[in-house]
Amino acid sequence: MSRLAATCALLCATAAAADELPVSLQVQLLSKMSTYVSNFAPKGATTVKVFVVHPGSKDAPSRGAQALSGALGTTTKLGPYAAEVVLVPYVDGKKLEAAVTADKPQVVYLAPELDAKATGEIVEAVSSGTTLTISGVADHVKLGAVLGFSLVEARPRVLINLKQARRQNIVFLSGLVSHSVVVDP
Amino acid sequence: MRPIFLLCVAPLVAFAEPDAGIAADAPMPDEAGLESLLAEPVSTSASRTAESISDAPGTTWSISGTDLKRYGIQSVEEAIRYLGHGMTSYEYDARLNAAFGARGYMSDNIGLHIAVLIDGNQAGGSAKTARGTQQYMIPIELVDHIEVVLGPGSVVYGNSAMLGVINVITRKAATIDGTRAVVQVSAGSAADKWAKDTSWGEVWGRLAVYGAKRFQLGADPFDLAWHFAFRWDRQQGRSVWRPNREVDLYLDPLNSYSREDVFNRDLHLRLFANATWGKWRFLGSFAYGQTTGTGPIEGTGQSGASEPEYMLDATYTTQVGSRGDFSFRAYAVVFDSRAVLVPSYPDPELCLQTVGVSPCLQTLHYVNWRPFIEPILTWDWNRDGAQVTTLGAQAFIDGSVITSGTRARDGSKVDYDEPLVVPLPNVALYAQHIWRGRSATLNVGVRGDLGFIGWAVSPRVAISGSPWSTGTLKAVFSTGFRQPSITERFLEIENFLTTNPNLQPEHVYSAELDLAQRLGLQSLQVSIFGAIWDGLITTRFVTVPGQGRISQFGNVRSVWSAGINVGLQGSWGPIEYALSANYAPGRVRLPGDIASQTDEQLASVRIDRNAISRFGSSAIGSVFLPADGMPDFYANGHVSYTHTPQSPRFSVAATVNSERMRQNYASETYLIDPRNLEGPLLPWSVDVRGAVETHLTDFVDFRVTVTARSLATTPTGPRIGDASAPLPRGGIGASTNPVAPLSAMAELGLKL
Repeated sequence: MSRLAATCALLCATAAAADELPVSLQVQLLSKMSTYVSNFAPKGATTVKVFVVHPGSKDAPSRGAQALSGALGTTTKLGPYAAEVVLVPYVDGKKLEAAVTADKPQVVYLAPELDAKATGEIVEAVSSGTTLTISGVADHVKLGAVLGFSLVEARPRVLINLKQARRQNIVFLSGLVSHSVVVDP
Repeated sequence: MRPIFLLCVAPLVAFAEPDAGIAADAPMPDEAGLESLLAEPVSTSASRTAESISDAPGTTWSISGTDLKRYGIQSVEEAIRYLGHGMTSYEYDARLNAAFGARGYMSDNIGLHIAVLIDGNQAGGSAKTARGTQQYMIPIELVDHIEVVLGPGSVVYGNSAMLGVINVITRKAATIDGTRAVVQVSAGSAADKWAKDTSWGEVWGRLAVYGAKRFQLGADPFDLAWHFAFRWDRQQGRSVWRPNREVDLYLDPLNSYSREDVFNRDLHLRLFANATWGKWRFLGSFAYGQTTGTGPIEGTGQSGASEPEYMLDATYTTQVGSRGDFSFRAYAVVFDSRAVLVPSYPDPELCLQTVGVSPCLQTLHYVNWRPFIEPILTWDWNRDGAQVTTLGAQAFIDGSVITSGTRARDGSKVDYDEPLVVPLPNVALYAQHIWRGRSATLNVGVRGDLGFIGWAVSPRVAISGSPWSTGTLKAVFSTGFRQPSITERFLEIENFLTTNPNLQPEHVYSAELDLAQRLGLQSLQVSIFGAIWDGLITTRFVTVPGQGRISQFGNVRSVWSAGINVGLQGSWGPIEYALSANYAPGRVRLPGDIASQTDEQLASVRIDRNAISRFGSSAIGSVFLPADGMPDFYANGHVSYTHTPQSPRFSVAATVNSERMRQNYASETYLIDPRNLEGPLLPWSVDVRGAVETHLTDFVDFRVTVTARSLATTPTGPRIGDASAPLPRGGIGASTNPVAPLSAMAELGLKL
């Protein structure tokens, strides 16, 4: 177990500090990955709702959020689903929780500008359901986002926070995990 | 509560019931599509923006830091030789300077035609010839990956980016787990088995220690990654051929040269660090080299050099409004070389005049400095990455102070000549616009350089698209240039070399069509290219009143090339592999009436009449000769296997070069030299390296590499035989080249 723990620590550290993956590639990966999450969308759904949560205002979303929104808008589909993107300014955890409860998004995509405190609060806000939290910042995954992306030796890596996935009852197909680095803080 | 089904085959966690609980109508995963996306590297070097290599405006290849360690790579040159794509390379001389070739042209001029960068810092490559390619200058264990962009890249990187761009990306502090040490020892057979003293052969040892540290500095953490390396080399059993001026080359060729043993004893150390702090990023290094020996420093006795180098680089990045990013980079590098040389041709009269005793030594103090600033503004018009404009400027000085002199052998008296001070200011402006549409990406850029020696305009146009989901097609037109060096432009030696005030930059114009196809975990790249290398600088003969016919650097060569680069890399179960195969012939283009020109005209372009008749071929109103030093075909590949992550890993890398002409074979003295009657063609060559690595404990790794080289193709100078040794023919163990034909290296990796 000590070997596993050491390996995990190394992998986690390696993944956490690498540079961010280009947004267009994040969206392409998400499109492929969506079919690996068995409870990604309700049965029979044709559209998934994606909240892009950012630290800006409604009129002035953060740069990262706009890039995500643009890339999600450019892609035709997330797997078999059409994507409906909503830019959501982050105010506090309670308001986000209320918005998630009301609109029931399948994905909450964290803008890269979000700090650790906001990330932790967002994770808590969605933890009662199966909403998938995703981020292009590896540190966000360590803070509780379920999926993330990283670059290791210039190649994309998918990061999975298994602990948070368990907490939210999110079910992955084995194929995704076999291509991912497990972040278990 | 719904049950938890985490169905993993990740290395760290395993769960039972594979894929249980999945709805019957759930969409089928596109595993091949996911794998192919994960297998494709991301590059920033081709356009200074992060993008998949299939979208990058050029043929781009990524060499991982893991592979560098896995194959015991010691330098950028070795990385290109064994793991690169589209390029061929070899160690140029006994000091391990490197030569690189690609797309029909071999740059034997110690790396002047390639831009080698460390984290985008150009000081390691173009500023000081090939020093950036030397093994001592790269913190191998700290390298995350190396990006290779094939083809001209002057639109972004300016001077020297003709063959391509090699960008060494180092690891960030947070990716380094603790402090580690690497100890390497290597022994090899003598490079020249006919040398009189082969006692030491080729041996070297190296110690590297590296680690990372995080400090809280004000509001932001300061993340520091550091690397210290020390290397000791001793090479005994090399030889050079030195001309005997008293013997007529044509009457008594075998005695007109004498074989002379050379040796090197080198010590090098280097401290390298990178750091991030808030909006700042820093690079810094200090290197010191102490060399003793003969070899490239010609002389009949012991020469030496002391070469410290200092570099500091700082970049500040900030957002501008809601659409812009601004960065400002400033760095300075100082390279201070002090050499004491035994003269090749002693001049007793000069010694008596200057230091009062004969014989004496020569001294050469060469200081190169480069202050550099670069502001860059990137503007994301739609705030979604679809329309991005980059405007940049560079201002720098390639400055040198060269002081030569004479010194008494006991050091009691030194006489210096007047220093040659050459501060060469340069400015450059460039602009690039990237338009990323739904079906295609267009990259248009242009750069203008204005320097003391000349000016250049370097445009590039690239368009890429994905006609099908796993493939990309690209068309790229790009250009590159190289400014004449200080030596080429300014050096004047009475009765031997005169300056050329009309010397202009060299240029290359390249067009290519690229196909990138992802096949699950495999990716294929095919590039078909054509390139024209124009105004290449080499020496020619000119008649100078009072000095007769002497040498002068001029823009006298034009090389045409066309061919194909095929690269394949990926993994197949536990096997990881890559293969690069290249057919890239280059031909020197001469006027169609070259054979009818006078001897004087031929001498002015250093073409021998015999070369035209023996090797020339006519086409499209021109005469073409094979480009010297460059093989038509070259390839490399590597494959690595381990049964389980805990098992020993076995890796093999190999490179092959087809026959090639020696350097300068077409010059007027070469082919009529009776020693070269058998021809200037060098044979096929093969290098093979095998490596085995194993994890002994959680804290100790062990690796062994064995290298066999038939690099009898160093295409410099006449490698003739004498009474005691035959002509080298190539083949393993039959080399007189400055590399060990057979060597082995053992490495111990420690986690401290």
